[in-house]
Amino acid sequence: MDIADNLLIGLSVAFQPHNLFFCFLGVLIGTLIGVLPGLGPVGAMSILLPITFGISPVTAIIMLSGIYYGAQYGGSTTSILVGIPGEAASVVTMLDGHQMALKGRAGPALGIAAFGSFIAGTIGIIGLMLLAPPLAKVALKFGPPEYFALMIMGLVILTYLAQKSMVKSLMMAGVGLLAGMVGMDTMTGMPRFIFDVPDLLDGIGIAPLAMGLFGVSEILLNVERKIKQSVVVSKVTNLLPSRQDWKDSAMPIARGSIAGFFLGILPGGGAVLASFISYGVEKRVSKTPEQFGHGAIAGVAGPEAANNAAAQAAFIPLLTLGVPANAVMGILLGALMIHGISPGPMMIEKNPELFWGTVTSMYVGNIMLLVLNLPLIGLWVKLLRVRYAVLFPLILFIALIGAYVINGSEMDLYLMLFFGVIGYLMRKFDYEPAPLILAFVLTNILEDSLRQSLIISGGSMSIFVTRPIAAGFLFVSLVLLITAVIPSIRKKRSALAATADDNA
Amino acid sequence: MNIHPSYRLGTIAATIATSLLVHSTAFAKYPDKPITMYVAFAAGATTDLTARALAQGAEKILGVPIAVENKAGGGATVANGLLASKKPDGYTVLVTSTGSITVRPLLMKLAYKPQDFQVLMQFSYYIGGLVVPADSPWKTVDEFVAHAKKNPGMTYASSGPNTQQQIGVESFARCKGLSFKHVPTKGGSSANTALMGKHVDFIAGSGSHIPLVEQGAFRELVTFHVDARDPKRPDIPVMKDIGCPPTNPPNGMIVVGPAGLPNDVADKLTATFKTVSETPEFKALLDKYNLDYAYEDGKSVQSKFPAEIEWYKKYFQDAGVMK
Repeated sequence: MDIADNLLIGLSVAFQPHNLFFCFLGVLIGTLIGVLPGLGPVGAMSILLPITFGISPVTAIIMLSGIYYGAQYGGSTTSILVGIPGEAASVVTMLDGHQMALKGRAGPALGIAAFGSFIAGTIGIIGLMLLAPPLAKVALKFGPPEYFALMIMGLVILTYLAQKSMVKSLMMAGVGLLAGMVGMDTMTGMPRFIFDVPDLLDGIGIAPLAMGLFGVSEILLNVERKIKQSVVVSKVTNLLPSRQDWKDSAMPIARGSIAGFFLGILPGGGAVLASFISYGVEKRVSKTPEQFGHGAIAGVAGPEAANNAAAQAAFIPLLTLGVPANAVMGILLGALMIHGISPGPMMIEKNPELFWGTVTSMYVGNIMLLVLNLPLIGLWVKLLRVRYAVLFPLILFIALIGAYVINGSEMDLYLMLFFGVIGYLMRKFDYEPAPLILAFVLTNILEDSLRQSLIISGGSMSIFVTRPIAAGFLFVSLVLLITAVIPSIRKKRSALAATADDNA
Repeated sequence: MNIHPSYRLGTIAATIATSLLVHSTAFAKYPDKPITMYVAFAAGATTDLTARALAQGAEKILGVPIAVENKAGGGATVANGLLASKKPDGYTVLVTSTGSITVRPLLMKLAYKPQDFQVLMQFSYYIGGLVVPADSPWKTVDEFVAHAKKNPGMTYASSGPNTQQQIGVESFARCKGLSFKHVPTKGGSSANTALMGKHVDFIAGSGSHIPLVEQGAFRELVTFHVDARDPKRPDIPVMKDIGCPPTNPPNGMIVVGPAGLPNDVADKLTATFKTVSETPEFKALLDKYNLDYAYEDGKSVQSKFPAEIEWYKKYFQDAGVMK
């Protein structure tokens, strides 16, 4: 069966009225969920799962998928507008996106996020359609040594995130690594750093951590400053990205989509890593790296594209192999089973209309999301005109609700507030939170894959260089590290040479 | 209503007397307010959906709403601790796993002990097995054992150390005199992925491997935990068939209340959940998740706990995990 036939099957499924309706419902709910910080697509999908019992499996999957990639779109909105990352994947969007909003450019930021997400989503779907089975095989080749090498590369990219003092950023990365170790160790099943608090057995949640470190700390900082509410500048024409914005964003979107797509396929990899790597890459190749962190649109376009492409790619392991790539896919797996569909390598063959129907409805969903989000930009920007005295407590309140709703656990609330205070102190003393978050996200996979690899190899480190993919990533990491360090070595040498000349 | 005046007083008196009677029997009648059912697993997970089905069915029988709340975390230990702190009045129950009650407290300090719970009933369990890729050269467990004897140190992935199924593999290894290298992963899906990519030689299947066996990606060589072969897959032997003592008991899915429930309350709850679990809809739900319907009365499950705990104590002491 060739692509055209399959597409026709898919289109005939996706355009059935009830499928269109549930697709719309899904992306709408997803956007709302994404906008509300804290509660992520996992929570919403689990709650809505029982509703899908009465409808056909394809419709159920269409709706649940819509919630998932809809949440990616929505998550960037709160990140950009109020600086609270809705979920881990939006942390990076917030770095430059919120700065743009503070400078009165919320409209273009939101616009490029929406368009970038749409383009990336579309690229992701095309990739899914054409390359799913072969890519799945590649994904399977990623075992513990490959993941370790990938995480090392992630750590190296982390150094590119540093804006001010490199030493301070590395210190924060160290703190992030430590924070990631809290919880039950995968390898021994023993608790670490939990101080006999059972709620910490699963570790510190990434959402309360990000919301506290960035969002709550931001509010605390703002309470101190006297800010002129200068966001009122927005005229209607300033709501969309300018020509220059598009020029600056085109390549980041392309690069982000590809990076996001490939990283999203890896089970356990995903949108967070993809968005950080995209940010690091964009900063590296940019002609104006000093703008990053102060409102560079490439820093919004790239990561947004990356996390949306990754969201689409995450479907590949589930649909082609029957293994879930992340928690969201786990719920879809359960949904498939409830509807009597057995996930596994034979699933596409046995249920072609499920796969192709879902894929084509993703196109439809992405278009719906673009149409939904663009007009809302004007509304969101108006929201920023609300007096800060009212806006900040409201945001804090919503963040508190969001943090609690994730797991129904008070511990998440306390963690968010605790990290809010920590984040506030950090930022007062110029310690950056972004390296902390990235290191935190990487640490579990980094440590587990290192130990798993060494068990498999019987203690020999050579496993990392004898396996081609792992060796490849390690090599790239080395190159990246050296090229990062060379400019500062050169600077030091010329400085030394200059002083030597002076002294001669 | 048109009541003849001379009857009116009598009617009023009778109404008051009857309502007092009803009110006083309502005090003695359980349940008379909503019940909270905690689920120790995440919303949308297998156990969660089965718990919700139980709750929905029980609501109709008991006549009061049953509110389901998820309190996932720490492998069910968070929810267990929460329930242990509740009053045994029959208005709070919990759906959890036997493993989290009998095994976990031996390994770490938790907010509860096995004695804090009263098991009402068990409705299913997770059965583990030894699973290899479908294209591996070992078609039977004997071929596998022969190969393992010649090649000690085969690697296997599992959903975590000291889980029921990992203990199953180690028991199997002890019985046959084999030594394996355990590569723990985070969760059953990660183990499945590792096996698909052939990064390990086999896995300790935790239940999520079953669809993959059915689709022909994996092959199960022996099933742990139970004494009888699965009627749907009669060609897979159990431990008894290969001459090994039974492994640890399976991880059962149970409904519990805090210890000290009044007898009539406990009996009513047990009977209610039993009825719901026997309905065709519930059994069909279990079937969709490849779970066996394994009803067991709460008292029977709980009476096995001491022996189970002793078994694990000895196992952990032998393994050097416990002193």
